[in-house]
Amino acid sequence: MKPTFSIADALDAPFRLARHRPLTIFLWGAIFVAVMIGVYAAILPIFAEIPVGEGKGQEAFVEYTQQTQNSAMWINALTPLTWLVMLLAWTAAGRATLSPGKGDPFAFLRIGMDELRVVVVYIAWFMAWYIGLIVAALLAFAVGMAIWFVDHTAAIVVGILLGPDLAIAATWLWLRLSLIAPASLILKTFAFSEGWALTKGQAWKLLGLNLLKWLISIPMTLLLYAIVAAILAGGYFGQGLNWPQNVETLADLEPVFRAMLVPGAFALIPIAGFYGFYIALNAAPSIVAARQLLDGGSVPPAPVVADAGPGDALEAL
Amino acid sequence: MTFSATDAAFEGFRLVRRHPLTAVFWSLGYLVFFGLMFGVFGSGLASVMAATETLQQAEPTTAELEALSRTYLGLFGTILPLSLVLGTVLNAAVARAVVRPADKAFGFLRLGMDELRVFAVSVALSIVFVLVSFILFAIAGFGAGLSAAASPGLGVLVGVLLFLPAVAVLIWLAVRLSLAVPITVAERRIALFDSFALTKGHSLSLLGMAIIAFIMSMLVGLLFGVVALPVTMLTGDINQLAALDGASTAQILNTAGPAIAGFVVVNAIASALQLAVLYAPFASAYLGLKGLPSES
Repeated sequence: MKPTFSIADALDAPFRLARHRPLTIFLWGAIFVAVMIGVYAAILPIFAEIPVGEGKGQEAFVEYTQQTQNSAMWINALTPLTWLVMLLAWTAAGRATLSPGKGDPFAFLRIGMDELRVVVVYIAWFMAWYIGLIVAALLAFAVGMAIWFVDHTAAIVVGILLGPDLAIAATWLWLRLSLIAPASLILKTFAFSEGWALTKGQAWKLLGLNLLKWLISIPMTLLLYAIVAAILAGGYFGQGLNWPQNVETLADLEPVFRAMLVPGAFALIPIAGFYGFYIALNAAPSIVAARQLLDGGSVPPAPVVADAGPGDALEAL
Repeated sequence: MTFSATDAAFEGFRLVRRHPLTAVFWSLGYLVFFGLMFGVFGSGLASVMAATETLQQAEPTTAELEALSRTYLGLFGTILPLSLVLGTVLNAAVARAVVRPADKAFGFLRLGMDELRVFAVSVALSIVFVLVSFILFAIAGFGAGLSAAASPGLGVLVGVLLFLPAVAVLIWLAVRLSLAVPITVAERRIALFDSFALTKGHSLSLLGMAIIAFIMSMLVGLLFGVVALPVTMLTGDINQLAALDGASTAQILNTAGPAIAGFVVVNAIASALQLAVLYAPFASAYLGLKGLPSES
């Protein structure tokens, strides 16, 4: 019988994590948010002199470009820092998913070989996908050009036919590569061939799983926006704040920013919770899918992590 | 004989763990190189950075592009011999550290016959690649040109159909010749094409290993960028050199000394580690394919 996985089990995994390890999930999100705030706190003052208001678009753009060049160091640091935190949290979420019933004093966060393997696999995955896409697009362009000079209508027809094919091929390749990182985390090796083999014949289920993940994230995002907007609006109107007159630059908004610091800090709580769950939603389903496919069927995920501690310092399980 | 690509890919990390002093010696090598680069060519670098910044802000004219090319060529023409020597010495040192681990004095750094042989092999391989690239792309261009005479669209199609296999052939050739330096160091002879026989049937594994090693080397650089952020904060960004266009090297060192020192130290350490991570796997693959024991 062909190994398979249960979409229901996979989708339940992040919710199971949220039920059993709410503080751990919150901590992942809090770390992510803290890093973002740290970097933005360093960047924002740099943009204080950017003009705001109607008709100042060009002037603002010039100032923004100038400041961006002057602060390239900070802005360049933002992306790798974000990736680093995402990587640590993703691997922690994977480890937590693989260790049901086990606790961990460090919220499953580590810096070790698992993290190295996962990041290498992710970069290789992106590289393979982009190179595949570039080659396919180049070939499609060349075929289109060859036909264009013979018959314009035929070229348009071929283009219309090839475009969706290319998108389907790109999606298929993406899905076929999608379980290499989870398999590498589970098997504790670079599981390129194993991860590729696991997804054979599973493309439709994986597509369904990813679409459902995306659908779940939409109402969650809208809910987050609503909560954050409510907190900020409550803070603004509750304090009876007024928008300053004659705002020339972002620096002129400082009194408002200062007054909104406390409501802003409150808003960070749901934001951290959201990001923590979002990371779990990204990691846990694919980990469960890979685990079940490796085990040869739809069975409960088996614990494989040996380095987890006996008790969770963060919450009772 | 066979080897584990994923295992060999980690040889650089294992090497630094086994012989931590090598990283110090190799960093010192880079430190001297970067120090000389800024000390001797500081004004040239400032001009290049200023010119690049100017070009980024506005659409460059042909004259500006020509001026930048001249500055680049002048600068790199003088730096190139120095970087060739350093590259050869370090490349040989990495291979020696894996295939002859007993020769560990001075962080495996030498300046002897091994280095001469590695230099000869590196130059010969570069010539081979330039020639093969020229031939392959000339064929692609010629084929595209001939087809374009019949139909411009057909020219594009033939060009793409010939260009893609040409790139694939170059990658395959690079993989098949990738063990030339480890063989040269291990067997103390110029072994330009012996790599071909040794890598037969292992191209995909070696390519996978090279990709993993390349990504890990890239990650080491990225991680160092993040770790070095506090240093850069304290000393200032190296981009401040652009504002010193026209100043003498002494003035540049006087004004941007801390930023240069920070940049040189951080990059020397990062480059040494990247070197180990990137090159050591090939020497490990050589041992594996030869069935020779490796230092554990």
